[in-house]
Amino acid sequence: MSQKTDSELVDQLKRGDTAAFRELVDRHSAKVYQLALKLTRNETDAEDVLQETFLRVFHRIETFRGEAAFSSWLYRIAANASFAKLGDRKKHDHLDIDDIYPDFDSPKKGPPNDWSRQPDSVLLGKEATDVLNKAVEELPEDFRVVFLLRDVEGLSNAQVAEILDLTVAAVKSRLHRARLFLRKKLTEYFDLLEKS
Amino acid sequence: MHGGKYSCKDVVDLLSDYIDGECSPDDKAMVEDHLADCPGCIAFVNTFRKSISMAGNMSYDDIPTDLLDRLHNVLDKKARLRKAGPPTAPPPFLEPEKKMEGEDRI
Repeated sequence: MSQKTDSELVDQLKRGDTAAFRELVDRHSAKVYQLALKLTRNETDAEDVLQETFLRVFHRIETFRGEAAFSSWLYRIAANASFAKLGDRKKHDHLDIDDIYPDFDSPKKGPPNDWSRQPDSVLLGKEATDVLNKAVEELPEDFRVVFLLRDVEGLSNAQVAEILDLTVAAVKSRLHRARLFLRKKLTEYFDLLEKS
Repeated sequence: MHGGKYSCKDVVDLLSDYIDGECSPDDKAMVEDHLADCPGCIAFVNTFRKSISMAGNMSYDDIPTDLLDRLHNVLDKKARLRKAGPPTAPPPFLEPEKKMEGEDRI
């Protein structure tokens, strides 16, 4: 791949340079596909989203004003296309408080399970990874997309807010709830592991 | 937050801001004051932090090569059609006038 920035490639594409478009596709297709796959949980739908996303980029590149990063615009198109694919399958955007908060009022029996001290071979092993992946799939999509963009992709709260057209406060609230849910699922797994 | 010591629930509510370094100095001090005397919350913070770090290690697989090839084939065909001039009928799968919500606002 060339050393050109996304902005430079976008400018070239606006001038009709299809090689620049090809490079943008090569550069970003993996992330778009994986985001679509994790949101739709269906390979066929994810492939459709991938294609629709880049077709929209190609046909609407003149509308991209460059005020935000190209990748932000791309993620927005991909997220919207994924949600459109989900249609009725989209879960209600709601995480029950009981599902995510610990029970502060129950007396704890024994020392707390600080499973963060487990060796990396366990924390990064297949079983724990499978538990985490399954927990991510259980998140309602509106929480899952925030978590994926923020904690997996490493975007900032402001970037995620821009992509999803949310306030930063809404991003932070959804992210916090998603994190609490995932921590709870991992804790349930490690509690069972400790007892076995 | 109320005056006086923070409760375990107060700490949990603030955790993302605390971990992400976005707490106010007062909240940060109150959280750390609570953690100095609450092994349960220390374990909670450690496991919360570790969950986030495990998420950061969730790597994306490369896109399957055949999928990328198919994508390029479709896009190349569209590019050739576009160069050939305006179509007499819109592409069957794309409605030119239908915009996605907010996609023009960036």
